[in-house]
Amino acid sequence: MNSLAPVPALPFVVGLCLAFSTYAGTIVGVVTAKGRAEAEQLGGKYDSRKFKFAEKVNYNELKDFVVYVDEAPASAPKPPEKPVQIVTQKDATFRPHVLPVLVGTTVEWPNRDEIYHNVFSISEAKEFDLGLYKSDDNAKKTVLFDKPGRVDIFCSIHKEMHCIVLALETPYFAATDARNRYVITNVPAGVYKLKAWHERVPSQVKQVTVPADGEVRVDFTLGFANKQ
Amino acid sequence: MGKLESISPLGLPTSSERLLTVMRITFQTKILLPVVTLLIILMGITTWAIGQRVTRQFESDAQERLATANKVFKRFQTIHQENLLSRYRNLATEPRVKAISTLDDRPTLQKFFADFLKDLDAQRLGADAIIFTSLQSDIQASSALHPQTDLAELASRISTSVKKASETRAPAQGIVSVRQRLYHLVSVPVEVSGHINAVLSYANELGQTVANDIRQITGSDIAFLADGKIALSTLSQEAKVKALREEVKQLGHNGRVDTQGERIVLAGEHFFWRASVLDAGHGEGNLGYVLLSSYEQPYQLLRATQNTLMWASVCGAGLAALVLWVLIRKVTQPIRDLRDGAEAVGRGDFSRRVPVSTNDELGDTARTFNQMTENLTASRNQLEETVKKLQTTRAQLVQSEKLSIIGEFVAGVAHELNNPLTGVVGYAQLLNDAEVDVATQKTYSRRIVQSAMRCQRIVQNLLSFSRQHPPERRPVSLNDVLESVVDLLQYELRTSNIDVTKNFDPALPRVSADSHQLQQVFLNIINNARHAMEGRPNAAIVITTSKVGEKLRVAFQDNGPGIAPENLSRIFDPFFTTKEVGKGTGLGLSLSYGIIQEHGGSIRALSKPGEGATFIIELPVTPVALETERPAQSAPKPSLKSAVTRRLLAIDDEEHILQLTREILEAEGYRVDTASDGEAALKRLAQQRYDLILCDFKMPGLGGKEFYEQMLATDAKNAERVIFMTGDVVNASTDIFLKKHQKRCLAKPFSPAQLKEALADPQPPAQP
Repeated sequence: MNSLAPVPALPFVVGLCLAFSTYAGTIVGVVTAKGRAEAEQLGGKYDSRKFKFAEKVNYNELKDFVVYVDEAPASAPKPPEKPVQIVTQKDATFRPHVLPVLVGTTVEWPNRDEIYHNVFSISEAKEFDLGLYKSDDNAKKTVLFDKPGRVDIFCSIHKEMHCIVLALETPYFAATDARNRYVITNVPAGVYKLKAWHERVPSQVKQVTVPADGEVRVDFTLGFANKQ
Repeated sequence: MGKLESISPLGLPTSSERLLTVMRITFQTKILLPVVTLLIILMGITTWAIGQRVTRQFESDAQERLATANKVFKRFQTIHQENLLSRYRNLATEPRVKAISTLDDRPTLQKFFADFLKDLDAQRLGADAIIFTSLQSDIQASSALHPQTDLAELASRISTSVKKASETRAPAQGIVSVRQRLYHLVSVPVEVSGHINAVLSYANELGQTVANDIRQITGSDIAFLADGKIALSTLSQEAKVKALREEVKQLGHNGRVDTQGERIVLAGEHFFWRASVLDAGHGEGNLGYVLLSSYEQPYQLLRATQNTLMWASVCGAGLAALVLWVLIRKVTQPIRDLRDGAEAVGRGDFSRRVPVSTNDELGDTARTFNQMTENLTASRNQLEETVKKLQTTRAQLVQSEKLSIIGEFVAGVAHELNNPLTGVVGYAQLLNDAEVDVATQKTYSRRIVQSAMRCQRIVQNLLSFSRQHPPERRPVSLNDVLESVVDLLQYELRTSNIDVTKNFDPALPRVSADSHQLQQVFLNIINNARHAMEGRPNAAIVITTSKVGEKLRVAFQDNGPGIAPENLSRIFDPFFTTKEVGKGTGLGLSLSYGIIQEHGGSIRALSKPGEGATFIIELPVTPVALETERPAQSAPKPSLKSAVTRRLLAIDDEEHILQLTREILEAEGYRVDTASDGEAALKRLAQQRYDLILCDFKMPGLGGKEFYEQMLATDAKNAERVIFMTGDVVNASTDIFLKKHQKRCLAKPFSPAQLKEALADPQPPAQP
């Protein structure tokens, strides 16, 4: 379900970046994940009793990657004025599943189902509980993410309901689209450490030189395939 | 066997005899039948007893198994319910449930519990349905895992347990039936901050899996009943389920069932079953369950065993019977031998001996029997000898009696002979002396012939009577015999002045009898009468013959003095006589009695003193084959003239006979030579061949017998041509000789006609 989540936040991010810089470049790429070659095959260790109850992850189908510039330059831009993001509850699912935001962004949590939902978090970066409410009670159900970090949000009734708000200190980030592509625009020219993140696999950092004008392509392959 | 069928005097078996015949059972059967019967009964009882015992054994086994299964099932139920309870109790305390129970929002509840059910299923805590009921017993939410669960119907039947749970604030459970499905129900109260907010009910179907589990554990088939119908069963075949359904129907109304181990046959399989009420707890519905313990296997085993046993018994009995039969046969063999021996002896076969095969009581019996048979044989032989001796003696007696009678009337006979002889001598001398004409000659010679013939008849009669005859049976005319006897006694009767009246039935049939013996009897009676009436005036004897019924009766009635009554019973005793000593032997009537007895007839005397006596002889009429008259008797007198001249040699020591023969035969065309004895004859025979040789028997020198034997030795062909003649007709040895050589014999005296007849007749007369 996570992997199927679309990325409605992406246009905002792109738009935001375009509005700022005129001397900046764009980072594009594709993020994929790959498991160990032997895990792909049938039989072997992964079919043994030892891993009987281990959740099998299909790395090829992982979605909802986030790519961002890890170390923000000193001349970091301010958070947007009206930085309201929205995570809806529909069919007992939070959408989007992963939402990267700049620290200081407020997120709205409208309930679009006919049944009660509850939105709460006990994460360190942000602890909150919006209580049980239905669609007719959506007003004022907003949360301000004022600390950087990963915040896991749940519904107290429906345990499958889960989403992540990734509060970042840099405005140069992007979530991948349905085809795992990402575009980070308006990145000032320079050398950065570019980080690819996913909730289930270790992150990866790559050095990137962003030209003053133009596009640089950085592809990531996450997972354990290349780890020896 | 048939030997033993006794016949009553009437010819019909009497009822008891018939019963004996019908009920005849051989000795072997008598032993064999009870023993084999006993054997079969014993084996039958054994088979039955074993069957009973085994049946009882596996019945009690099955009962026990059923009881155990029942206990196990109940225990299983308890554990199962406890498991369910512990499984679901805590689920009601989950915060999410608590939280949601306060919302009172149906869609939310519905969604939640649908997910919740799937969750439970994923965790293998599967309930088939969840029903969330608010305190007012409103169904807020319900969800079922499988579409076949009739949720609405289920929800309508949980009120009891929901109520119980909310009242006791504790989980309640029970079993409900919904459309022939059974569900375990666990109702758990949902408590939020000290108040019962709602009741959460879990329904777990008591399905095939559970039933199969129970079957595994209890080892018995189980069927669950809901409202008197089978909801579920572990029976593998539909036919059995169907049969069980019918049985369950019989159990009664409302599915109230309670049976304790009864037999039942479902589609050919044998079961013990017990039906019990299933405690619904706080559920709803008339529930029951049936435990079925199949005893088909032991049953079949028993049947097979019984079959085997039965066959073994039958074979055993058969074998025993066979062995017994052989044994009994062997044992009873001496008895049967004895029986056969006794039968043989009964038939008169004294040569039979019973084999002595054993050395025991039966052997002793056989030996004794053999000895008895031997003794019997000896006695019988002795008896036969005695009888033979007696017979001989009697024959001698008869002869001596005859001779004694002859002695009595030989004087009479001599006198009787004198009369015709006087005629013969007288006329012959007249012929010889006087010169008479031819006519007178003829008259004289005719008178001579007549007188001579009369002499011949008297002598013949006398000889015939005095001769000893072997006993014989031929058709005899009683009238003829009586005639000859009266003839014989003619002189005596006449001289005694006794008038004889012959009152004969001319149509009297012949009887098969010995004429000579009868002659003697009649002679005896008439002679006795003559003696008795001697010297009495008007003495008369009436002889009557008649046919009375199937008997011929001869009655001799005299008018003599009669027989004294004290003597009447003794007259047939031997040696009893009233005559003076030397006048009678006292055997006459006794012998007569014996002779008549031998002929199957009877002789009795009736008399009153002074009124004469009557002797009555009765003889049975025996069918006599019609005797064909000898045609030679009536044949025309044979003429020998036509024949070619034949030569004849006459041999006799009496010159007269030779002369007579020559004169008779030469007139017939024979050439006759004569010889006075055997030696002379042999000489002649050596010179001349003869067509016939007429030879006297008794001659001085070489007699007829010796002559014939010599001829037989030297010239057998000529010996055939010998014809004997003899005057000695009484001699027994002559008779024997003639019979032995089958020779003809001409009795002297003979007439010329008789001589011619004898020569012409190629066949000798059987008896002279």
